[in-house]
Amino acid sequence: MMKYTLLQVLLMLLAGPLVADEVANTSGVEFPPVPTFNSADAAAHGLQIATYAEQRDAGWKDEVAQGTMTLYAADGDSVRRTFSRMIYERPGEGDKLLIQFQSPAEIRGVSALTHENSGSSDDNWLYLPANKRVRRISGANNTASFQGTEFTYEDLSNIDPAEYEWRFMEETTLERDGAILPVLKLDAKPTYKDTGYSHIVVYYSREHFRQERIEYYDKAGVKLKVRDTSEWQLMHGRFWRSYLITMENLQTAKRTTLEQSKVFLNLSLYTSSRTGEARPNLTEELFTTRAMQK
Amino acid sequence: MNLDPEASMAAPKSPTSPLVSFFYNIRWLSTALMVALILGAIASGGKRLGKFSASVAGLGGDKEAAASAPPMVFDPSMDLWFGEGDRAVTTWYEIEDRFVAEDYIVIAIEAKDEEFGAFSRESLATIMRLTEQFLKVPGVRHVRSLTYNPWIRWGSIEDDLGSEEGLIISDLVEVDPNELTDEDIIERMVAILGAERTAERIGEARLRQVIGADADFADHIGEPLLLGTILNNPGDTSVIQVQVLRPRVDEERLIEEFNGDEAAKQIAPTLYSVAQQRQSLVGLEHLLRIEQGLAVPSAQYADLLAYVEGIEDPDAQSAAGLELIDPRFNSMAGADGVELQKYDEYAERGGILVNIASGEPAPPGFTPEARSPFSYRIAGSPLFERNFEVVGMGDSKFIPLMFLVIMALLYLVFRNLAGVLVPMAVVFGSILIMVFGNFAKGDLMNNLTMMSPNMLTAVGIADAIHLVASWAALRPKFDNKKDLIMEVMQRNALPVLLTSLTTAVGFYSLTVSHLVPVQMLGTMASFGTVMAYVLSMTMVPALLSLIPHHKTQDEAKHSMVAEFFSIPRSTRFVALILGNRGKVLAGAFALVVISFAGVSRVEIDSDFRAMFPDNNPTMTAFKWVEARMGGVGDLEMVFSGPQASGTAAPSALSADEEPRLAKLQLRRVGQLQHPDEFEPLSQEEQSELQALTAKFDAWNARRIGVSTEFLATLGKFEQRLRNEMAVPTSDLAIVTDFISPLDTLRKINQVQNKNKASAYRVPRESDVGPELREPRLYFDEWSEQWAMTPGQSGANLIAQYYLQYESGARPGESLTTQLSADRMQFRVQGRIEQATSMDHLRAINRIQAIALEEFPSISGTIDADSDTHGSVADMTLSGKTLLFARTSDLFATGFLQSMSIALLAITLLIGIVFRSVRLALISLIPNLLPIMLPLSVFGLLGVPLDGPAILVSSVALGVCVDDTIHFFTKYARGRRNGYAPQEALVQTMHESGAAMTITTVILVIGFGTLLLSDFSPNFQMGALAGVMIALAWLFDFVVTMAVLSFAGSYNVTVKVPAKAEAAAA
Repeated sequence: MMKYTLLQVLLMLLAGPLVADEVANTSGVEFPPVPTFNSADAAAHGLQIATYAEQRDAGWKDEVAQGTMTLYAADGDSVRRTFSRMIYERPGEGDKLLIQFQSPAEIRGVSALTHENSGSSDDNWLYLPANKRVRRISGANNTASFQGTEFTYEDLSNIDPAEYEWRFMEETTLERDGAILPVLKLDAKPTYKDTGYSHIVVYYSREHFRQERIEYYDKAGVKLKVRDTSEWQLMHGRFWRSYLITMENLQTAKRTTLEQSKVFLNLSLYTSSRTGEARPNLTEELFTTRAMQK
Repeated sequence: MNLDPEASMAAPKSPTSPLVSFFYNIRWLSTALMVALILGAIASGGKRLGKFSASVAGLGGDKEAAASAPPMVFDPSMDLWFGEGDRAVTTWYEIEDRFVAEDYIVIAIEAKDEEFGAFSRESLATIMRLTEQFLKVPGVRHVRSLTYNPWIRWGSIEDDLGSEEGLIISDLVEVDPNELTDEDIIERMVAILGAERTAERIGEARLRQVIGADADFADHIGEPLLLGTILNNPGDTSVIQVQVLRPRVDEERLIEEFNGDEAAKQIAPTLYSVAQQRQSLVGLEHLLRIEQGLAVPSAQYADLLAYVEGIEDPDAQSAAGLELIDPRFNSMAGADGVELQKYDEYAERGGILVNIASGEPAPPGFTPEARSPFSYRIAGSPLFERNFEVVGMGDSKFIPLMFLVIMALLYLVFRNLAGVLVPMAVVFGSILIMVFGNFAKGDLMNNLTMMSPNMLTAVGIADAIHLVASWAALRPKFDNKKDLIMEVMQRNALPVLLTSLTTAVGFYSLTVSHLVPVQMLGTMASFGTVMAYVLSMTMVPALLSLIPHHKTQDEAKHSMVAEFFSIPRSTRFVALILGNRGKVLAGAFALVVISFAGVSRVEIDSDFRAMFPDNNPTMTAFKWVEARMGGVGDLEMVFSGPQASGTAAPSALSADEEPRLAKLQLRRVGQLQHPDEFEPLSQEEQSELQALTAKFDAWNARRIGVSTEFLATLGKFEQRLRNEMAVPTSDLAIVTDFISPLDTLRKINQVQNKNKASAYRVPRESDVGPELREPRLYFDEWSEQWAMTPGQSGANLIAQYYLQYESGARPGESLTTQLSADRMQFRVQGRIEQATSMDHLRAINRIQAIALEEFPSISGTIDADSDTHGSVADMTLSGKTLLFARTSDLFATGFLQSMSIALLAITLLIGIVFRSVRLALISLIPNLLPIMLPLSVFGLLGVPLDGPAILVSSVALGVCVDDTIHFFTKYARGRRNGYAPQEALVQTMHESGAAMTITTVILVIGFGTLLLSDFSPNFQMGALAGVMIALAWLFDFVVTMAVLSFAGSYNVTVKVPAKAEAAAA
């Protein structure tokens, strides 16, 4: 475990408020007040942290991003796919999500549409340009791999605090880009049926309540994968978005990275290069099977 | 006791060389040095072994495992036998690197008596229960079973908004099987078995109630991917297929643990992964025992449970809880740190249930309460490998027995303690140095080197016996110990050196083999032989000088053996041989001819099924599973994109080039369709577009996984093989099945086409309509830019089908084990039944021949350089089965090479030592004949020999030569002392007959202990060596004698001494 010097502690204490003040919150969404944590009860404490972390990341309306996923085989060989991604936020109901592949050329235009349904299974469609067909897909289960990556659908969907048994473990630190990051370490046991894991360990940054790292333990209780989230950027002085997510499978030595570029959060806060006016937000009509077919 | 008749007839004292007196004088120092060497070898070998074992066990980062690791003595990995790297071997390791390193363990469950067979509720419930438990065994990557496999189909999807048709992906059984209705069950039977087989099981009328009165059976083809793999055709035996990882160790971790120790770095990862895999197997077996009621919580289980529940720290409690349920280990530390057993485990042995840990019978009244009525068979290569190890280690239990027999024999011969203890000291000393020296060198034991102690025992005893025999014979003639011992050394130093050297050469010639274990055996045994000589010359004088000197000779103890070779009997025998020497030589010549004819027909063949006794449980289960489900052995066909030799592989577009090409293409198409929106391409940009397109095309041409041409040809090739596999008399009849991404593409094509049975095929170019082949431009609102969907082709459709499949598959079902991410490597996994290695090679060669002759475009036959249109792919065959089958060939070529080398070296040595070309050439006959004759019997009878067995020839050669050398030494001395050839022969027989006979008997017994082995190659080895050594003894007395009489005395007429004539009369 990392021990820090007095100087480092002082610097962190000083730096905290400085950074927070640096960028003004222009998102129009206030930070929710930090609750008084119940540190006497590890379960309640854990749930509080997870719930607060979720609340902190609500209210951004929509998101558009370009991304690159790179799949590394155990021998280091890799394959790269680029995609664009749109999300329509529906707090409490489940978001709508459209992913469209850009490259390699042979899969350009393949689109996956997901309607998350809070509390029940999601609706999925896939469009293949090579046969110009949209196919509804059902039951592609949570534990299935997402497009052959090390991420499963379960890993990609948001952590719903209500669906886990939480336990606060400890305050500790992670090393990030040579710096020491204070984190809150939580253990979470999924209570839903269709899971690939016995439990996960989530590291939230103490300051921003971002998910910095998640460790996934397989059904046998053996550590299976580690997901690291880094290269954070603060959007509109309010929401943190990661530009790099890596998922490493410790048992097969395979790895997937998701790099994001050009993230737009709440489109109405941007100006259109064509009209010179504020861009409209995404509408729900864009998240239909018709919109997939390009 | 008198074994050395020389002592009784010749002047006892030879002139002592200064070397002998020097060695005699330093005997205590040299003995101390040797003891130090032995102890040093034990210490350094033991230390290295301990450190190595701890490092290996800790490779996964488990410090506790590292600390408590038992020393790893045995290397059970099969990789050891693969020979030196040629293409099949490198392909094997590439498969491990590129895809996933895993093995399959299959658990077969028979539900014959049930109405729905394997689909009965109880069978499904059992399969589901076991599947869920197996998934929780550490090291298990994936499980595929009747209840847990992707059931991909077209159907109606209901949700809040109504129903919509689409692809449904689910497990075949998602709910508690007891809740399934008969209709549900029949629907699932049809999905896997198809309509026809289901009708055979439950009757057509019953089936039609579910699928409809006018349903066409041809529309319900079942699931080809699962049928024959996890379910047999009649539908009553199903298999749970458990994918068990051989975990990887990354390079950094290896360097960290072993630093510059290259030998350790080489074998450690395999040992680690084999050990981990073995633990997973133990876990699976434990769960099966619980299922069968053969594992019940022990008396201490409740204590352990209470201890775990009482731990306050939640992390520690959860860790202890995991340890308690971890099926791989049957004990854990309880409250006071003492290891407690979790379960009492029983197994049937000899008809009764015994506790596996204690070996005691189960308590009276214990009857296993099985959770289900089914019986289980477990098979797969990890079991197979373990079987080799168990049987290999089992052979070591005969070593004490061998020692006992030999000690008893020594006592019978010498009738005193020195005669027993002195040879044993030499033997133990040299074995310890050899085995621990091997550990210190960084090698472990394996199935073959496990036999080196047996071999060295024979050799070491032969050395010491000559010394002890001389000592016992000369003892009455000497007044003091010093003179006696010096005389013993004087007489024996050179002959024993020679015999040791020839034996060492015989062993060392094995190192030319291409098989690593054979090389190791050669190095170890030759080193041990040299050490046995050194010990004989240092420790034996010291030990003998500890024994009080008596000059008396007890006539009663006079050896029967020595008396047998009395002068009169020897004279008669020599006369008999010489009188018939024409016949003897003609006979020997005939035997030589027969031997050559026979040996040239020897076939080296191995059959794993025949290597173990009939009641070996692993092999019984294997045969059972194979009889119902087909082969368990692997057969790998790896296709890769063609690459012109000598050129660098074309590289893919870089992360910058890819979007650049897309942009240029967009502008080119955009210019044509919306000229006002797009700037025309400049001259430079046009050539850039051309260059990028050319680079992409060169790279893309190797991506066979999306090539319709490759896949169509491969489909035909696969069908061609299947047709031949169906013919029972064909070489391919032992091949059971192939799976590859072709099956996945067929399935996805079928469901994309609404489950039509006719769409169960690989996509074709014509599946992409002309309207889709043109690029489509559109304005993308959200990036506020023009975008383009490129024109589509068959390759796009295939690439998109893969993506579609992988979006729904569990990680364990993903294509990554069959298709490389860049789609350039395409793996076809076949299954092949156990058979002889020759049958395996015939099948593999047949596949190769069909590929080369009928499908040259995908087998790399067409040179990519000269005909770029022709070659679509290269093909390489590999797999454990193939690599093993080839070891037979490697044994055969190794045999020829090492025999030639040993024979040449030994003949040269004899020529130099006896300064006679003639003697050297003569020695070929008694040296070669005893080896060739037994081998030729196998050749003439057409019985194949096991690979390892033939190895023994080089070893036996080294030992056979010993006899010849003793014979020649005595004969040469006799001739030098002025005896006529015939008299010299009589003296030779009289002098060395007893010693040669005793050593032969001891050697035969030493190798004979291998006859107790359960492992047939070891048995064959023991039998062959015994016969060869016995024949060598016989031929020395018969053939060598006849040949010597010719060679040594062209002009000497044979005159039988009067005494002998009288005796003969």
